[in-house]
Amino acid sequence: MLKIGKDETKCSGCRICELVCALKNTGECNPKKSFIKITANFPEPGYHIKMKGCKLCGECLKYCPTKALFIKEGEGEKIETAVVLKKESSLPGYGGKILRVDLSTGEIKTEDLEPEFARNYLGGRGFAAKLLYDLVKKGTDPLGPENKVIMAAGPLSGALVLANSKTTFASKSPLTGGYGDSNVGGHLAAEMKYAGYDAVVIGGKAEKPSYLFIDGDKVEIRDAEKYWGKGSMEAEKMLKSDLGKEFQIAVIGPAGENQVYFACISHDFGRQAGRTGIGAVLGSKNLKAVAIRGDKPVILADQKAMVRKTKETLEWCMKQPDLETWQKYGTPSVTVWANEIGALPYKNFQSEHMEDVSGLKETVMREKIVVHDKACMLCPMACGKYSHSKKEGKYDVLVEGPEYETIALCGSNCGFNDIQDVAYNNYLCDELGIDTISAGGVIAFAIECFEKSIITKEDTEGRELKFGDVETFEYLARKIAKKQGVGKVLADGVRLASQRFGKGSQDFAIHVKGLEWSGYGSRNALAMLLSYLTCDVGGHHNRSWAITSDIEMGRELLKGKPERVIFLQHARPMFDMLGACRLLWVELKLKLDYYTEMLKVVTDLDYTLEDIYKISERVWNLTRAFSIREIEGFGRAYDTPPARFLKEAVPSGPTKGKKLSMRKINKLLNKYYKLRGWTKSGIPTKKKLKELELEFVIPDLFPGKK
Amino acid sequence: MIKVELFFVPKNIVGREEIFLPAKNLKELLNKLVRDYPELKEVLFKKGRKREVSDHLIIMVDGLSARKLKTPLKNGATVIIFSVISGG
Ligand code: SF4
Ligand code: SF4
Repeated sequence: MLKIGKDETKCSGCRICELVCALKNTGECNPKKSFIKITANFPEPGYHIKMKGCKLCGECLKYCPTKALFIKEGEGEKIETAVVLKKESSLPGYGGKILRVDLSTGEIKTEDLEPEFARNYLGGRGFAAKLLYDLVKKGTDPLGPENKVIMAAGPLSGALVLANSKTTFASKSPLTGGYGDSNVGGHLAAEMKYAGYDAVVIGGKAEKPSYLFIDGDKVEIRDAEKYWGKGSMEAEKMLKSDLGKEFQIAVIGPAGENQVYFACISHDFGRQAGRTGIGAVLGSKNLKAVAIRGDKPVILADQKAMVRKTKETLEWCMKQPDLETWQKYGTPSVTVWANEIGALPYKNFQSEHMEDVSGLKETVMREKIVVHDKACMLCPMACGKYSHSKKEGKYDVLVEGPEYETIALCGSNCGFNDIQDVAYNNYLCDELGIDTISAGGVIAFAIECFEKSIITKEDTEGRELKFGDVETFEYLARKIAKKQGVGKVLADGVRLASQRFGKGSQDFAIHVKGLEWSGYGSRNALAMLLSYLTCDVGGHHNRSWAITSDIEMGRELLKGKPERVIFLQHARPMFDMLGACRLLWVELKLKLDYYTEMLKVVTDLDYTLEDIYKISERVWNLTRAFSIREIEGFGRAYDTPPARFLKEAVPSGPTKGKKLSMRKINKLLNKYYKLRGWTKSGIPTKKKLKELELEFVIPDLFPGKK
Repeated sequence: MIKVELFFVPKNIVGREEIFLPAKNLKELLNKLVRDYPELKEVLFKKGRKREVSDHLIIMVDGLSARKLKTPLKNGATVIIFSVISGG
């Protein structure tokens, strides 16, 4: 008889075992039917593995990527794979419903997901962008009840597809005034699908602090008085203990409640939909959290093929020589490299290189603070690192991270060379509910303002603001979250704060379109620069991460770069539509065909990569159109870098002496707009909009003209 | 002597971030690395063959990208080797 061994210290919480067990023994793609249950021990690191009713078939052991489950003795019972659940579905793979909640009136309704909508916008970011465009009226106040928050899952989430965990949140951004979205991994998207929803649209404003309770078809707006004011992780813990561990929670911290323009949404104890300030929009609606659970199966177009293909792919992943590096270190591997190539932000991007980064190395981080590896749903890589950071008499915290972006912005950019301090900064931002990227940008900006006497001790209650100083970071982070004193100005982000402070501070307010610049200095990386300038949400790297293209093609060369950036702006957001993570593709070199094949077996949509890129392009033009509609004069004038990058040469490191010129930028933009079928001002032409089946956008972009 | 700086996968395999080696060109350098760390073969070369640099690898010689095995190396050159990544 099979004896199963369990080693909870190895378990990454990926829950592959749960889904595999349910598929094998019940034929349902539904982890609630599984005989094995994985629960997080939060705030303690690690997971609890529990088996109940186990048939000893041994199926889960074959998949467990960490060997947390293993054969102690014997072999699995020969059990026939359960018959695949048959249920007619016009849209296999999808939840099939869109949930709409009006917090002002209390109205809750569901709509069927239209097949044509699914075909044209695929899911995740695509759904979010289209719903937002349609449902938010021109000129809506981002923090008024008319604004909406869309939460959308992709077609692959909930199915047995590796690393399929991403949920997109979209809204009109308070930080930029234009289109905003951000996504988060973890377990939320799958749970939405098990509850039967592809998207949730939240509008209106609740009278008092509330949270949205979704248990399958049972949806309620509930009182959240007891959670209001609590830190993100504390509130998540309370909600889980009140509702049950199966509930997946999206929650805001005090900064979101206070409508800090770069407040984030947190999930799974330390993952965030960080960018563009959607946490503030939830706060403006008096909505502390969304708690969601479901026990419906995902109906699949070809369940057997899905299981077969994923098994093969998982086995392939486990053999890749690259896996171990990413499993062991995650994105912090990037830090030293970014410094070595001259891209690591230092002291508010004064430089793109730091003399000594030894205290921020991934190896130092692993050795000093990492206590457990943490995976998103169905991910064999578990790149998330759970850390314990402790300094006698100063702090003692558990936190997920820091990821590279946090190390860059809340670390080197704020002058830190100590991973423990960075982890503590990370903890503060997470618990207060602010985006670590914007927070690191804003705090570095404030410190530089202080150094230049633009803000003084009068503004800081007599305190000196210093780079590399945990007390400075903590002081500012807390003031921002509470919107007190100087924090009240900083809470609006560097663009608005610099307008208020004046005295030349606009030159070193490092942002694009109002969104703080993320972790790659680009004064000598023109493809990366173009990625930042044209990113639909503002200064963000994730749509097109092109810095390796710069290295390969020649950093100062212009030729071929607009083409490359456009390709990436279609390929990478494809993942955000599908609900999948990019890391298996690039880091493990998983072929992109895996995703088209999985889309076919999960949804029956027979798309080539080119077909999906076309949808990606449609969405790219739609989000651009949203911002053009909402922001007077939006276009080329907004696709510009901070003045610092034009005026000040990098003072040190491999890119020493480099700065940007408008001549080169204009050349890049001219070519980029031309390739995109946009005007010289960066506005999509009618022809392009028609080609992309976005005719409905034309009256908004060309009012009054036929 | 050539200074070799390794990042990501090659670094993890070698277990060091810097190595010094004498080599006249890239081919010699990569072959010596594989000789000392056989596991690198699969990472450095296309399909494990020693004829072409893997598509998933980026090599910089004194700041410039180099893919050709014939690329000459001057004494004192710095060669940076890293696997392709998708960004943090
Ligand atoms: S051994 Fe089989 S029945 Fe038991 S938990 Fe694993 S997959 Fe489920
Ligand atoms: S690592 Fe994943 S598959 Fe293995 S026991 Fe933990 S949750 Fe299950």
